[in-house]
Amino acid sequence: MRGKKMLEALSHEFMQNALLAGLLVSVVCGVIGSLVVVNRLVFLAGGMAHTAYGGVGLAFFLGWPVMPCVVGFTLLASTVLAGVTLGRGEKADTVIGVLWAAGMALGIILLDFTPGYNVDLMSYLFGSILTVPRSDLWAMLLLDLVVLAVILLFYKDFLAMSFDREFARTRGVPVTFLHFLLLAMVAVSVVVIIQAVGLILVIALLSIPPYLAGRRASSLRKMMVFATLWSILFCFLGLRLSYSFNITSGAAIIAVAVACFFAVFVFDTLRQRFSAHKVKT
Amino acid sequence: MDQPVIELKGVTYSYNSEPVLDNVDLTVWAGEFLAVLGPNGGGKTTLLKTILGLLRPQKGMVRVFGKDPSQVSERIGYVPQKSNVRPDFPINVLEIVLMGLTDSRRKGFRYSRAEKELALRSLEKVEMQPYARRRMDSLSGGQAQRVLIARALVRSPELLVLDEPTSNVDPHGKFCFFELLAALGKSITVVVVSHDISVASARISGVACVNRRLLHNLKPELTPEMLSLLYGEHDHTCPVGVYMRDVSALFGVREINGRAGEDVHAGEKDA
Repeated sequence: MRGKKMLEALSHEFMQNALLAGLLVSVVCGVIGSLVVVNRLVFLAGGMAHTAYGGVGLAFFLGWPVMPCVVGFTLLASTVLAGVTLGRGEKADTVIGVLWAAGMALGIILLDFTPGYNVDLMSYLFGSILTVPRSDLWAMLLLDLVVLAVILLFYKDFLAMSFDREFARTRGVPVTFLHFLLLAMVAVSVVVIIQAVGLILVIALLSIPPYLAGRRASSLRKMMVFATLWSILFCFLGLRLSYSFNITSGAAIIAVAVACFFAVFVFDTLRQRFSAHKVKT
Repeated sequence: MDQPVIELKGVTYSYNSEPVLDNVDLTVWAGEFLAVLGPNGGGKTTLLKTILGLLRPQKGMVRVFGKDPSQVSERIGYVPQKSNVRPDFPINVLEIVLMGLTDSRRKGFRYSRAEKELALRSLEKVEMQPYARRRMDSLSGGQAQRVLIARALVRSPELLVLDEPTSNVDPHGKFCFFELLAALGKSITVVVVSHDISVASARISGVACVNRRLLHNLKPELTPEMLSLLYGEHDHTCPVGVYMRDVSALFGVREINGRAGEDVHAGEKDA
């Protein structure tokens, strides 16, 4: 009965689009999320996601197409954030916090000034994967391909930079350029992920799948692949729950991810305790 | 005529107008095993970074193999402090060593069979080949340090520079580590930076002390002037004075400012 209901759901174009969007989102979550986690940029990625709201406000205020405008605005914000955080490490958190709030505030103010504004604000904050049109899917595919091409091209350099920046510099790796490039890739990914779960929940999809994948992976490459698979699982299960219980799809995806995170966390903790107990006895 | 491996002349480096290195001269010849000692904040790491070309001095000249360090990076192997490396990073031992072959002109994400063989041979030199597929976070401090040395050796460098290599290693591990370095040192020039002077005594061929200024002895002995540079002037009743006496015994210093071992009293001669 349930299977029949799901097959019926898959016959709808909006559901097919949602599944494709979930797949495209998962690729950037797995690849860029892994780099975000190993470079300890989760807070910065969260800041960038919220700054993107300034781009949404700007697009409506100027009457421009939303996606290109948000991409441009977020890329600009990523350049500022890359400049501010370069070489400062964890000390940059205050500036990230300021830009986080500034982007949101700018977006809200611009939307206030937009005449005849009647856009569903919730779809940008919490995503609307069930309403992603085909045209946006093509744009998401293009952004995915750009991200994949850049990462494949610079994989060894990114690996060296992420593992040990100082050593990477001695090997002639252009660390400063890669720092800016990575944050630009995070900006592009944020725009893709906003389609699925909204800017408030972006941080969860950029951190939970890579965390789960990184526990056992013996290389960054494998971490990226496993994180992509985890993300696909979360997106598909979340969509299923969303359809069955008529709940917001973005929140359902994150709920599944968080449930898996805690299940794995508890499993790991119990296993560690059990092995420690076994060693004692 | 032989060319020095490292040549520093009148090097001055300041952070916020506070000089960390002040008019430093240093010449290191091929085959030397030099220990660079100094207190925390004395300028050891700054000195090392200028040799590696990571920092450019405000004054003076740095030459490695007669050229600017950035032009000879292929000939230098570098082992950073282990604390620079993230312990929970998802990476295996072989991939860490392969990282030593990183060349920003070569793109892609695959390593060739020849590169893998080179990395395995490098791991063999430090007796870590059986651990090639193990994750970094499953290794002990000493084993991890050996892997970082294998990464530095994978290009067969002529100069090996190590920054505080034994800071997280137990005494036995330190001993084995310096045995390994001494064996390598027969074919390449080794510079070890450390604040732990006891570990450097066994196998080194020369010693340099840096504390803003630099004093270099071509023999593995600390001179009274070096001890004063490292620890300042202390009365023999002061705990630092007692420590200096122990150190002087360890390095075979007969006199410190005119007094024999038991009566260490830096500065007394001047007084």
